[in-house]
This record gives sequence, structure tokens and C-alpha cells, in this order.
Amino acid sequence: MSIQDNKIEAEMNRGFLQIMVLLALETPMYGYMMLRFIEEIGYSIEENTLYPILRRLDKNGWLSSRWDVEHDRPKKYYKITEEGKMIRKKLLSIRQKQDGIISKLLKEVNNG
Amino acid sequence: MDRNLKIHLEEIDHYLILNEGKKEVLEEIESHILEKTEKDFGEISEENIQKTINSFGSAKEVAEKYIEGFQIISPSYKNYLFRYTWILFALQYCLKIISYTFNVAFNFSLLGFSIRIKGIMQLLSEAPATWIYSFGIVALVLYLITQSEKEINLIWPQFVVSRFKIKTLPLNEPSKTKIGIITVLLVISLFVYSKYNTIFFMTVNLHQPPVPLFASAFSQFISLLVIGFFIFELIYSIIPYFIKTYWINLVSNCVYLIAAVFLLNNPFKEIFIQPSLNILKPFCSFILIGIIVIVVVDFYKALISMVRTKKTI
Repeated sequence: MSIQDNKIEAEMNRGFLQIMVLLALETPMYGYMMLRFIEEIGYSIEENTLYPILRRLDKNGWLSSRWDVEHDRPKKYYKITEEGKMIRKKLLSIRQKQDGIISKLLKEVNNG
Repeated sequence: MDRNLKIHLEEIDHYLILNEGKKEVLEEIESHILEKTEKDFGEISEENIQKTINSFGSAKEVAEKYIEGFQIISPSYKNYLFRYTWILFALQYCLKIISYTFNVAFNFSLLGFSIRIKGIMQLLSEAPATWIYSFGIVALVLYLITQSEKEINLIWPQFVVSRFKIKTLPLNEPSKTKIGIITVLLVISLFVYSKYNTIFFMTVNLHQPPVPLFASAFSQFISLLVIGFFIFELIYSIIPYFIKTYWINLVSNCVYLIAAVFLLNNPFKEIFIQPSLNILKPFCSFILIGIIVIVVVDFYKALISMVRTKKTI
């Protein structure tokens, strides 16, 4: 994948990753666990991309976090907050509207 | 802790700019790298940790992802940064020119500084520092506005925009006419100088020897300077045939600047052959300062054009 492709994907991903994280964190998860989860559902995300997103959403108050120690290793668990759920609803509605517009345009392109 | 992991975390720490939570971020990355190494390779060894670190990305790349979206100065204010810098610079530099020309001082006791320019060298050498100072002040104000996260409409009337907009200079095109005129002037000057030791005359009468305008020593000095100027202009006009670059503008501006300063600081006591003409001295100084200002502005324009052109390549 070229640098240009990477940039386009990063730009497209920005909103999508936020929605995905907010949806996935209905169940508390820590970073590595979440990466595995995302891989299981058929997508992949770079680890150095996921952690900053988690931090940003946590800082916005859309996620809550707590440290836990498992097998002598500290792990930071994240979970969606009530505020996060409200934002998720808004983001999903925007996303659905955008998808609708793209489908409409695609239809026109294919017909024309 | 593993040595490589420690170094990697220290590097991230170095690049990471966060107001709070830096320690937590580093702990989270450390925990991730260790767990990933264990799960992917079965055991935690120096070699395996290094492999995980490599897949995680360079320290700089990781840190940049965390500070994505953080703005020192809001993009909407970036245009104002240079516009306001130039205005502040112009205001300050005007005061400096006035201070030098009329030998006066400006005291800004409230701001804790004063302007007092004693010589042309001081005036010129303070130009870059004045610009950087202006840039610093404007950048600081815009930084504070950005960080306050308040909606502030900065003043920028449209008529000022068109007046202060610096256009990219076109690259010099070789001109045969210009080369021809300069060559003729150079040949005439050299001929006249070889005959009379000057090229400036007060009266020219074909039946009598011409009367020089300037006193002997200064006359030779200024004549050689002008001949040198013609030679330089000739070279400057020929160079675009071989190479087109803004460096020519920058170098020529520097040469003109040195010549103008040299002339302004001339060591000759007697300038005009007739003492009554000495009343013209302040007028000449004023013209020279004007030339210096034009040359400095042209230098900045060429510099900006060069930077802009390089950016677009």
C-alpha cells in the first residue's frame, strides 16, 4: 500500500474507528484484548493507532478507564460511559446518513 | 525491565508532549509490548521484545499519533501570523529609521524597552532581530488565543490584505536590451574615467575642460563604485542565460546593500567641490536610506519567493 493509500485510509478511518471502539467497549476491554477482538471480527488496526484513540475518547469522557493487575501485569480497562453512548448514537446516525447518501450516489453513477 | 524496551519507552517519553497522563501512557505501552511478546512468541526474551517493538512503530511515530490534533496555533490564525508579524516589524523598523535619521530616541518604559539607533550598521543589523522579535510576539499572542479555545475574530480589513500581500517574484529573464545599455554605459564610463579620473561633472562644455562635481578623492571613489555597479549589473544580467535562480536576486541585493551602506558611511570629509552644495548632503543620505529600505524589502521578497517555489516543487 502506497503512502497516498495509507493517508486516504487514515482519513476514512478516523470516524469509523471511533464508532467501532465505542461499539466494542460495551464490554470492558484493555488495549491488547481489544486488538484481538477487532481481528476476530475481521478487521485490523495498528496498535499505535488504537491506544491514542482510546486515550482521546477517555479524555473526552466517552470512555471510563481503570487499572487492574493480572499475572503481575498492570492492564488498563476501558468501558463506554453514558455520555459515550449518547455520542455513539449521534455518530451512528451521521454514519447511516452518510452511507445512505453514498449508496444513492453510487446508484446514480452505476445507472448513468 | 528489558534494556531495549526501556530505551524505547524513554524515546517515546522524549517525543511525547502531553500535559497529563504521560506516565500512564508509557505504562500501557509497556504492558502491551510485554503481553504481545508473550502471546506471539511464547517467551519474553530480548530478541522477541525487539521484534514486538519494531511492529509497534518508531518512538517518534507513536508519540505523533498521541499528539495528533493538538494545535500550537489554530490553522485559521496561521495566515495572521505572518501578516501581523510584517505589520509589527514595519512599525518597529519605521521607528528605528526615524531614530537614526533624526537622531532621536523612543522610550517605551511601560513595555521595558527603548529604540535608539546610532549608526547605519546598527540599523541594518537589527533588521533580522526585529523581524524575529515581531514574529515571537505575534506567535505568542496567537498561541494564547488558540489555547484559550475562545472564538476570537482577528481584525484584518480587506484593503490591507491586498496591500500587504507579497507576490512571488518572477525569475529573471535575460534581456538583450538591458545588456546592451549597460555595456554602452560601462564602456563610456571607463573611457571618461581613464581621461578625467571621474565620471561626475558639474558642467560639460565641449570647448573647455569639464568641471568635476565632487572633490578629488570622493570623486574617484564614487566613480569606481558606479563602474563597479555597471560591471556587476552586466554579470547579473548575463547569468540568467545560464541559470535561473532566486539566489541571483539575494546575492545582488546583498551587494547593493553593502555598497549603499559603504556610501552612507563614506570616510571622506569633502564631498562636493563647491562647499555651497553641501546642503544637498542630508538629501543624499535620505535617498540612500530609501534605497536601502527598497533593497531590504526586495531581499525579503526574493527570500519568500524562493521558499514558496521550493515548497511547491
